[in-house]
Amino acid sequence: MDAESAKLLAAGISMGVGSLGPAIGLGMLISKALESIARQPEVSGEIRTDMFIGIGVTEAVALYAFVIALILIFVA
Amino acid sequence: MLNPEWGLFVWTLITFGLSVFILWKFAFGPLQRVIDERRARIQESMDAAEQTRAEAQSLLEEYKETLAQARGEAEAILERSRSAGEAAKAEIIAQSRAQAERMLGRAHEQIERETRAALQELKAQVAELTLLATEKVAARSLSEADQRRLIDEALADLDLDQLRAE
Amino acid sequence: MKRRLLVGLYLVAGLVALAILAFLPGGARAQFDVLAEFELHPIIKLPSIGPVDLSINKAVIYLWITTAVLAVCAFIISRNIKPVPSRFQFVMETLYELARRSIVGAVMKSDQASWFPYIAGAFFFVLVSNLIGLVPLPFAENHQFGFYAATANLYATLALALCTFVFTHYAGIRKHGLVGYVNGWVPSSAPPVLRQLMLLIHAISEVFRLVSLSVRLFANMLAGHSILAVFFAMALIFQNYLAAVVLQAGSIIIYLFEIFIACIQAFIFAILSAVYIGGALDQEE
Repeated sequence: MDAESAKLLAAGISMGVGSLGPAIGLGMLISKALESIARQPEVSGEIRTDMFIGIGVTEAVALYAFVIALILIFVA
Repeated sequence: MLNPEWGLFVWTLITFGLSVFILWKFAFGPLQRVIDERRARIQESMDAAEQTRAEAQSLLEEYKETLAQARGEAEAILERSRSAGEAAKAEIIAQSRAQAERMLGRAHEQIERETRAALQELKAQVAELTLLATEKVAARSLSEADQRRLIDEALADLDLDQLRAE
Repeated sequence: MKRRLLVGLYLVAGLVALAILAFLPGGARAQFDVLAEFELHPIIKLPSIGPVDLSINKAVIYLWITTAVLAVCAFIISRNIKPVPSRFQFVMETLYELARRSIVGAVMKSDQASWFPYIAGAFFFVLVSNLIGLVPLPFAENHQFGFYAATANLYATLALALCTFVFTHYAGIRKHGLVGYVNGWVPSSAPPVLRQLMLLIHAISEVFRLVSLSVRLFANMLAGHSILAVFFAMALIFQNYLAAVVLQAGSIIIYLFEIFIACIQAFIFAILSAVYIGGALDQEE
């Protein structure tokens, strides 16, 4: 395997594995948020705001993988 | 794509700063003001509506009270006039009864008086007639038949109608 | 009954059309490099100061369009604002209320009024910039229409995140003083050695906030535009009308999803800015 194909492979793996965790995390986060909203609809606004903050933070992990993949392809 | 683009960095700072400044100076102030104004106006109109409602309520109560009072007064007036009417009626009846009795009494008195006068006159006339008849009888000697006839004639001459007319 | 027949007829006609499309020979072979779409070439050459090349390129044009759109909106709002809102004013008011209540009001505890203009400005700027990225504008290669977003550029989002970063620490230092602010980073009850370690970790996390804030926005916009571009490119790669039709349908769905992402990312950028600045203002003791 030459270096070029190794880079591409690594980029693919980094994106794929790196999005596993955030995917699970986002699923848990949103399901819990929806549960809380269903249980207490009167504070749905606050829960939704916090949910978006959580989504932003969790999603960043997948985006790091995306950036690593980009770096592997174009920079390394 | 990941190459340093410091020019873009600087341009972003410039445009971002400009945008925030423009929005801050020209958009946020008027927006906040118009939203506050609208909120104040809604609050005001709600307060005004509440006040109007309260006023209407108090007015309604006042009207009800006045109406009840008026009704009570009308009833009192009716009662008073009814009793006054009763009293007047009773008085009138009593008065008219008294007057009728008085008139009746007067009539009785008059009738009695006139009867008495008529009897007096009758008595006088009868005496006079008797005297006349006696004179005539004394002037002529008469048979019993003549006497009877003469008395009858004298009595027939007696004008009883005159008595009744009086 | 008649209706069902009609639906069946339409279905059959559609399938026949798709089958014909599947067997038609493809169009001209065209090369479509997805990543070439994100390369920046200077359009107007300007002198560079040290490493800073101030040339106007595609991204700078997009930034200026964003500023122009915001300026026009602000101008219209300030000129004819009415107590009974027009449709445009209603939209602006809704966004303004969203920024005021759901972003600043929900997150910041103190000093809302003085930091609201920055956070709402960031919200509007990122939102408009993201949405303009989804409007086809003639700034692609050879003045073709294409999708591009200024925020799909790491150094643009880095500048935005740096503003938030600077304002966060400025707010903290102004309120608590430099020493008080840095001391507020860690609980005072911690033993001294642990305290220094925690300070170091916190300092690193502060830098990572800067990175995550910029990379989140950049990667989201870049990924979204790449997926759109890949859908268009695949139609060229397959050389088949059926594939092209199916992929265009897919690209429409992706496009709608991208509109959603553009709004959500603007919201997240603003709300995280509010969280960071609010956190610096009200440090937990």
